[in-house]
Amino acid sequence: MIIDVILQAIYDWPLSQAIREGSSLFPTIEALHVVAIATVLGTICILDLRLVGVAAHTRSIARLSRELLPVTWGAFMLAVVCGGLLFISNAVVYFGNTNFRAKMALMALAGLNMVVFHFVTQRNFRDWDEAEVPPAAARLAGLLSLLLWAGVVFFGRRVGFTLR
Amino acid sequence: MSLQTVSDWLYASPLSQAIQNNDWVIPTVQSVHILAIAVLFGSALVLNLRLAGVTGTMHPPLDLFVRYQPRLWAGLGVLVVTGLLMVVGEPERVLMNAVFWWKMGLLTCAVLLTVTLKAIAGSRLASPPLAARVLAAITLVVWVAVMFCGSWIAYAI
Repeated sequence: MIIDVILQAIYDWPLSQAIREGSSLFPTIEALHVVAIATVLGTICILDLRLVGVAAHTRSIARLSRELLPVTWGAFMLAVVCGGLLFISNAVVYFGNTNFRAKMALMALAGLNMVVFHFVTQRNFRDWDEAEVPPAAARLAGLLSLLLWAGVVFFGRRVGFTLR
Repeated sequence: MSLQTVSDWLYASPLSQAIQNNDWVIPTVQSVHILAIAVLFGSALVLNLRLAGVTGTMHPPLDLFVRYQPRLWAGLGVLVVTGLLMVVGEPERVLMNAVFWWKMGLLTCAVLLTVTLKAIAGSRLASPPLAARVLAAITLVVWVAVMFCGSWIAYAI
């Protein structure tokens, strides 16, 4: 199958080999990956907990959330680059790993959730941002986001334990 | 009483045996550990970026500390509990590992820095002095170093 040929070719790249066989390259990239993920989730959860209505607020944090967005995006891109570098070092095995696939599927859903929130629910942000408890759609988006990203971390961790 | 003795004693304990005999425990505990790291680091980012004058400047620093520092400590609490479970479950891997002790040292520094910064925020200065901005930046670097050590524990044995 064409995908197997592509994955094998990626596995054979000099860069992939260097990461695979180097003594500290893989651990360093993985450490950066974890820091990046912690930053993405950490900044996202500030908004998500607000959406779910867990943290009682008397003042809106909309501006703070928006100011943190560049941090979130920068960290996300770092996570993707690191993830890509980790992936190529063992492309065939990772691609076939059930936990890895679950992680990718959940990330896609989390992304979709964010798009829906951004273009649909958030249009009326200003109407409810000052309210103690946001509307149901916003709370659902926040809850889904938290659950999906927790799932991403959970399955991501399991990849390392389920490699053959 | 040496670290090796403590490690052996822990390894033989019923809790350790229970963790060792159920392979889902360690990965799950690690996942919770990472989620708690996110809560802690997200809070640390808000606080330290504010003190560095980068984000959230519409809020007085103390307001943000009142709002986010409890979450930071709550995250730290979960990290200590999950961390202890990992120590009990795999004592040799953790206690006999220099990287783990570096992590604990750096963690102590990060906590002390955070307490210091809270005191500075409490002084109600509208625009934090340069020293505070530098300390805030250093604190973030130290938190990142703690995270780095955490990942490296697995590779340093």
